[in-house]
Amino acid sequence: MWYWFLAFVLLVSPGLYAQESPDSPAPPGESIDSEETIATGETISSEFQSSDMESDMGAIPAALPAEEIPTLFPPQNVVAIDVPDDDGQAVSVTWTPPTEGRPTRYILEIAGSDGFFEELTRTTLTEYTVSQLENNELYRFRVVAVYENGQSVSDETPPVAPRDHWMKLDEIPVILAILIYISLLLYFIQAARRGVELFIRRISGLTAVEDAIGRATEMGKPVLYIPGTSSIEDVATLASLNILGEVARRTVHYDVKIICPNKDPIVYTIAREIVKETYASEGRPDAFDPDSVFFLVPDQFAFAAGVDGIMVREKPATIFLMGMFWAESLIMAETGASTGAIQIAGTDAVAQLPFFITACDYTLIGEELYAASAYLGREPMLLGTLKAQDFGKLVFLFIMIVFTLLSLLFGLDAAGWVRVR
Amino acid sequence: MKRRLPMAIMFLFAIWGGISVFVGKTPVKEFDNLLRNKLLMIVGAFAIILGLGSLIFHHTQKIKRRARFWQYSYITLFALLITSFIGLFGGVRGEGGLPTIFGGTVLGAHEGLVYAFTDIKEKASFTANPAQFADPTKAVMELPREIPIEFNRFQASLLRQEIELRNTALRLSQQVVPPMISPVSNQEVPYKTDFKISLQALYEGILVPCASTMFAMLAFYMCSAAYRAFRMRNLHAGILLVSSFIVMLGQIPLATAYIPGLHELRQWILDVPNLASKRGIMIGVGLGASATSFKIILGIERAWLGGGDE
Repeated sequence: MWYWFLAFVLLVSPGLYAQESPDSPAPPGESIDSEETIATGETISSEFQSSDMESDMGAIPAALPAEEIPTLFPPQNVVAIDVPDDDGQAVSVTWTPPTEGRPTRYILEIAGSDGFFEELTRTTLTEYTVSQLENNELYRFRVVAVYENGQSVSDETPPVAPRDHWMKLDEIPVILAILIYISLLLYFIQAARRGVELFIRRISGLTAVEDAIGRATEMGKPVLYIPGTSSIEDVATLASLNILGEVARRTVHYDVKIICPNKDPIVYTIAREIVKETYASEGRPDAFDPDSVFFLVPDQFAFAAGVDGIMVREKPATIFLMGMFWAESLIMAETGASTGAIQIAGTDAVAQLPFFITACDYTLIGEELYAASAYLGREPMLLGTLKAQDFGKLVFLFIMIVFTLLSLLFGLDAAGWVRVR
Repeated sequence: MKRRLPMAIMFLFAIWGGISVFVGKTPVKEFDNLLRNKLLMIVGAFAIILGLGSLIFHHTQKIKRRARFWQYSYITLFALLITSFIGLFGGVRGEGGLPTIFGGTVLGAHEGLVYAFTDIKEKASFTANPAQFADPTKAVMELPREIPIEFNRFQASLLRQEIELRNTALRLSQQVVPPMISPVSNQEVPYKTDFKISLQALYEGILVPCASTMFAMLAFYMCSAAYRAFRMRNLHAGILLVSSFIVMLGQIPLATAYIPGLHELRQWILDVPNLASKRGIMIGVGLGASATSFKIILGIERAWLGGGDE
């Protein structure tokens, strides 16, 4: 009678050899790892795989009462596609939760050309974009649903290869924004050329530049100019170098010595040329001191120490701290304040702005740094770009308000329309 | 020509930089990387020569003119000379021909062992105790055990750490350290490396502590700056004082435990008014940076070229 009983148990038990779902047949011999390989290809609770359980209960799983083995369902509809319109190296994997059961998390596994699956990431979401892959290499994916009492592995995806594309279509909103902004710039530049009077609001930090250099003239002390501590790739450094030209022009005019230490050798080379050419263009090439613009040291805090030393020794009447700064900003600004110099700072580093506002007499906040060159130069075409900046802000503000209203009132994902991956 | 040529070069490279952002093809990306990394590196190398020239000129001029504190310029020039000499002839980690390690071991014995392991890439084992990574002084008191290691470059660096930790242990405890046998030569590996003047040792022993000291001074500067900022001179300063007090108090676990709603209020200040103003600045910065870039690309802004003739 015992074999009738065994046959009955095998027939009624879904946990031993029946598939959970016709959508997700696990291939024979499929395994999560070497210890969980079972002959039927069925998923099985990991607690029955442990050595402790084996020693306690004997052979696994035949010795278990079949009705005690829980059925763990794998993730469904695992799809891997090459991310469209990108520069390659990325594949998007999506899946749906199991038909039954609630996994605590999922493990995404990847197999390359060697065919072996390895864990890629663990997530509670049902999508993941795999990046940093090799273009045109074939990859397969599968997802393991992790339950409290075991794991269940999905089907493998068909091989998919990440590919690069000519045009990143997801960047189109950026291109549109750039085109709108360039149109604004060109419009206001043309307006300035036509002689239209453009109102530019007063920026106190820049108005004070003339007075600050005048103060240095009266005191007979030098002007210290720090063009930031970043490299030439930083736009803030470029803006700072533009301001350096205007400041140097005034120092030539007032016959004041300028000191310009540099942290980056490339910035030093350009800063030196700017000051030298400014002296030449103002008709005072003989007054240019080649020792006034110099390379100090490339290390961040060594530079801060060197600048502090110059401040304490030379006691400049005016200090300009313009450009990109990091943690050294307060060290330099506080030392400058202690020497009694008038300090004008400008940076687009939001984290450093509070330090400059506290320690300096005037601070150019964010965009004012970029406006400084045009403001000081007073060239109509440059002033036109300032107006375009202000209108650009207006356009962005309008877009933000409209999109916020669309999201709040109609529940639309307005931000998603312009979101760049 | 003096201005037009740089402007033409800048225009071409700027347009290329824009194209590479929107085109995803691999050859475009590779060429862009070549420009951004390799070409910039070459330009940077030449600029460093100019920078060094400037540094030497600046300090020799100071000495010549007997400018204020000119004596310090001798220290700078001397440090530059010595460091360059050690770096050029002794290598970064002392692998050059110049002896840079003094004391118990001849030059590069440890490094040689590490590199030997790295090159062979065979399975090897050496006597080590994981506990020593936590406390080197205790490590020598415990029994070492064999750890099989298949050496790669990362593990070779671990071996270097192992040797240095053993040296530290020896120096601190003055006790007998179990000998470490090289699996390659089957000979005992010497421990002592008492005094190093390699470029890396100079960097780690002089520059890093000095930089840390400067960084640590920031704490005191922050205190003085905060004192000035938080003085209640007007309504704005008063709002600043109150909000900063709430944010700082909200950082303290004890305060958040006893004052209900403090944590939420602190987080609201950070997430709403603080973040809103930060984002406002960021949008302005983005537009300003774009405007500056366009001005330079279109040749409207020429201050970066200095003055001079066309």
